[in-house]
Amino acid sequence: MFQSNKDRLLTALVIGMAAIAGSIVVIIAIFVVKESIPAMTHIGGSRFLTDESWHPADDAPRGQFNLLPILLGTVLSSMGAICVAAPLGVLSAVFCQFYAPLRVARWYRMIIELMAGVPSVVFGLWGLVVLVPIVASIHPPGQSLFTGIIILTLMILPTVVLLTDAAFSSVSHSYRQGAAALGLSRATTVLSVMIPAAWSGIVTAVLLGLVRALGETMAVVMVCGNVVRLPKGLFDPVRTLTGTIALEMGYARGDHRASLFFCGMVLLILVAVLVASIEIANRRGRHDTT
Amino acid sequence: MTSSKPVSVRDPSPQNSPRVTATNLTIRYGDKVALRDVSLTFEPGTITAILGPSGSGKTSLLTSLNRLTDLIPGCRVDGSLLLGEEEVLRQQTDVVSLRHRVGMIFQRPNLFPMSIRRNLELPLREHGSRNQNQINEKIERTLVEVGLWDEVKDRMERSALTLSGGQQQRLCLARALVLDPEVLLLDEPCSALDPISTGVVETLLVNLRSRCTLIVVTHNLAQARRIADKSALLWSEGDGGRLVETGETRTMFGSPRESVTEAYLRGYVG
Amino acid sequence: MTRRKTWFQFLFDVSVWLSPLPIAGLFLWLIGDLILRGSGAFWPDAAEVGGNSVVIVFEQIIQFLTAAPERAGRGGGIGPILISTGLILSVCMTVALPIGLGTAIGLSEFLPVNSRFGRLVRRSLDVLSGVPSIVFGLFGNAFFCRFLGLKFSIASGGLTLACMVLPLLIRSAEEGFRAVPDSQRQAAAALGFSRWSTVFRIILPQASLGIVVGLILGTGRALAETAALIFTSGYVDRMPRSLGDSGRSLSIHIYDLSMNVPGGNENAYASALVLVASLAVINLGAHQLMTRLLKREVAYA
Repeated sequence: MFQSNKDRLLTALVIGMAAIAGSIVVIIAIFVVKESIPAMTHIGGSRFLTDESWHPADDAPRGQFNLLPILLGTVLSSMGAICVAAPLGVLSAVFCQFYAPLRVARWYRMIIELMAGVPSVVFGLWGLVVLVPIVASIHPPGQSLFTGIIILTLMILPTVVLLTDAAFSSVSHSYRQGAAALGLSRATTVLSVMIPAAWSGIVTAVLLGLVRALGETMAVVMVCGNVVRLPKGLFDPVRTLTGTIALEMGYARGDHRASLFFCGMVLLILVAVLVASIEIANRRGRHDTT
Repeated sequence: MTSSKPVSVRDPSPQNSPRVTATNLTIRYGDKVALRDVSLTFEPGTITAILGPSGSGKTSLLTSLNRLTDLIPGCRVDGSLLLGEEEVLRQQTDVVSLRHRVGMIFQRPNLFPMSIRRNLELPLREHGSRNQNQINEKIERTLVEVGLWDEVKDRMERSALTLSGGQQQRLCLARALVLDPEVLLLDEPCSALDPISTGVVETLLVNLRSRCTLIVVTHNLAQARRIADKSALLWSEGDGGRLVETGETRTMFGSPRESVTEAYLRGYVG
Repeated sequence: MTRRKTWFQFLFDVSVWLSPLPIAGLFLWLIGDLILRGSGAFWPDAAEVGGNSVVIVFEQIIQFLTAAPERAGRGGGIGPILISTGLILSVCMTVALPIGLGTAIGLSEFLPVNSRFGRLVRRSLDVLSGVPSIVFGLFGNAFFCRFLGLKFSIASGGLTLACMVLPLLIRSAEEGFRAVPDSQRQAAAALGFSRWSTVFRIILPQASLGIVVGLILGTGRALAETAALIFTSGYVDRMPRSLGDSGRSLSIHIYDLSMNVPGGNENAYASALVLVASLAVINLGAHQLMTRLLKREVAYA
């Protein structure tokens, strides 16, 4: 293509920028893996699961590196949150799309969008100052898996609701018309027609909510108690992967620091697996939307 | 082809418009052939109408003449296209300069969302004009030429999008004409306009023959009859448009040589 | 049989109608609590109610916004912290905007539609937007603080945030470009504009609204960020003297006050109110611009 020299330079520049932007995620992966190598070589996979406890030291042999309670903390808090947020979120998206009068739906959407913009420290602050004492009065200590699940649920609900709402919006209008013409009740229309039609979008919404829950750090640190111990009940304190990194990076050196990067790597892998599943779910369900 | 130089007033006369010659022009989009082996000559200072049903390659032919086909990914143009004596289809051709000499009007007006003045100024400045007086003069003269001056002279700073459809299309014409093109390509220029605006634009096109060669793609047989000196009929059997017949409009419409031509002109097919 | 279906449908209908209540309820509780407790720091004590209480409240707010923190933040204000936050955001946007805009231009105007490179870049940006913020913190620490030797500094924090907001900026800019109809590009091409002339004179001005929206949303996202900054820009609550100095952002201040400083809750709430109020203003601005963007698209039709 005919271009002046100045034009050619500019084009090369923006292509170069695109290359930089595209390589950031690769560089992140490289650095995270690189920094966690000492942990993998000095500590090794089995120790992460079989050591006595989590009492990390800067020197591998002198510390204990059992990640199991921490992993469990992450899994339980995130799964707990999504188990509440998924049905609640989908139902309220159904409310917005099919049941609520237009004005109420608009207000509700606005509230959800506002929720999406609240920073995690603010959720954590409220959880710490308001929720924790209330939970403590029901069942001490207050800072626990239970409180964490409540806060996480609130934080990922906007993601689930807004994406499910969008999924419903993009379902072809002809489905709704067809159901109405057949005289189906609203409940049946939603359950038998709309939800199956928007299924891949709903699955995406839920999985993305889960991704958000897994990655959440500040609010979790503030309300979960951060004790590294296998929780015996819902009201026991827990520690998550993200919380561990946040709390210990400040003073961790050597192998301890490397083990924290290892936690980061685990997080990346979890997120990558979820994102890949979203991709698969989307590819399969593409026929149902307009 | 010389690189862009400042716009100067050329003496508008048929002798200055070049002859456009297409030889064995074949246009492909990927594997699909849109135009097959078309050879046509467009005489200077005339209006040629390109006729044919949808899919016969009319627009492809038109857009190849100013290399706008370069914008379409996967499009390949083979054959020869001469603007005067110069080959247009070469790799080294300066397309920017080419499009200075060959202007184009589209089916729907595509003015920039700017003031009327700026729509006309931008192409002039882009191609090197610097003298504000010269620019203003050129703008006024061109607006007079398209019959818009009285209608817009008091609202030059207002958005061009506030004009009516017919006015917008005439402004598009003015925008192309400020560059003093030697050839003007028009892709169904009146199809989005009401009959009165169509009449105004058609009169304008006929008058423009004195300063450039016009090539008009049109669906409207009556329009071709009204304004075109020559006509060419393209026809596709599904494997690319071919040239069926070409000649003086009056002759072609009165006593067509090919049976396809006769059938199309009478409305039996297409 | 019909009776049984109706019973089930009834249950479903009830759950649907009930579902928004806990969500909206808890959220409104949170916001109400934030406003009450947050502004509580500014209400004058009973003893001080001498002059005009509105003026006193106003003075207290200004005092809070400009004074330096005292006693680890229990008293005083958040002046230096606001400066640090502003500086971090500036670094972030100064780096992210050109790269984001350039990438968006490259992706939407210069690469062929189905180019492999384009798809790879887009895919990698999608993955990037899913990376947890704490991992950005780890990366920022390892790359900017250590590898590039910037140490705990506003620069490190800003650069880390730039990586975070890049996907958002690029996506918004691309939306802006997509909103410009192809007929504009054709018109420019037919008039002999070069590709870059078209970009600068025709496309960018028309896409500017989308770009600005992206900028605003990116700023909002960066403002709310904490985990990525803890180990990159640091904890220092003094006035920073340069970009190489460490400085804490508003969100980190809230975290520190509520978790590490006994008695810091009052100021934590006040800071949280300032943060949420700023975000509200930012998002309102973006919303207004977006509605204007939609109105403009209609004009093309």
